[in-house]
Amino acid sequence: MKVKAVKHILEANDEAAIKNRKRLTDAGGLGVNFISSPGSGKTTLLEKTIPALGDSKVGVIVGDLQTARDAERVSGMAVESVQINTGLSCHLYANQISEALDEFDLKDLDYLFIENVGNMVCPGEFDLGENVKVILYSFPEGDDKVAKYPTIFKVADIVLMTKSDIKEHCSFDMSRINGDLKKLNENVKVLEISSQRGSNMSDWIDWLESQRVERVGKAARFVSE
Amino acid sequence: MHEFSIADELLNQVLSVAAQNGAESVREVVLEVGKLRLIIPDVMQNAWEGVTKDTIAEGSKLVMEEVEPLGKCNRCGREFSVEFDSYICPACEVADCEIVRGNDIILQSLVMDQDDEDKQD
Repeated sequence: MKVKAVKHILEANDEAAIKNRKRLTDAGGLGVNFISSPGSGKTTLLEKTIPALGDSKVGVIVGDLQTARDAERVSGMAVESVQINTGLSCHLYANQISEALDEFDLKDLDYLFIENVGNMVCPGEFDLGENVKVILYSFPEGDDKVAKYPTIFKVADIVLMTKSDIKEHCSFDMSRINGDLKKLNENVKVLEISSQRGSNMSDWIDWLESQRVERVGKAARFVSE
Repeated sequence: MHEFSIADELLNQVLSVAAQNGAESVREVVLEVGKLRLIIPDVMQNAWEGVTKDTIAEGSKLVMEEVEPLGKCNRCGREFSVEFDSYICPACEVADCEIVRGNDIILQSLVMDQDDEDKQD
């Protein structure tokens, strides 16, 4: 017996993601999905970003195969931090975020930061219900990653070039990155930052705050002057 | 590695369609795969073999049909063939487009057995 089906395979994930986005946005919070390879500085960026957001209340969800180390690193500065251990899975799913959202008082959140599992391929395939995707790309990784992993850069709202304080020690051609990005997405924003030194951190914070106003709109309770 | 997640989701859909049709076993699954999803066929086959173990879809054949990606330029409205690493509109020479096709993974059809006598293949 042959049966025609026509079922979208990622439908269940996408539906959960849509619900997450609505829950967050209705409560006035901006969902930010941080994606990068392991070791590009996601957790360090969070450690520097949360205090720089001033009075804003930030919740954090961290995905790793094992350990709660990253959630512990930000636990003192976030309103709440939840670690998800994905076991063998190389990315987070929307339904894991749905469950984690139950741990937060959403009305009390201005931002929800989701630190995805370190991986430049799979996290780009699974919508979690975030409002923006932030891709971190550190200078020591070399200048060929946009061409090698285009799908993740295609969906980026902003590319943060991290560890700019050691840029001069890396063999790196920024024009190559910009050229490869232009082939994928004319509108993507690129910012070189150093979390350690604080370089360009204010531009990054301004961008985040503007996204909150733009995407969460009237529900945004706090707008930076 | 996302092939394993996708195989898992596919299995959920397959088992649900099979249950709706009162099937006892699944023989063949046809899956439409958009090329932009970066599914590696060999890895997907292995994943399918793994996730279907001890289910009524164990031993089923997974047929993958690749779909070439198509973009639609947000500036001039032209539809054009998208490359894995380039989404530039040939007319505008700018990458600012929506993906019309090639980004979906869709279960298209199933071949199932309902009774013991149909099982031989």
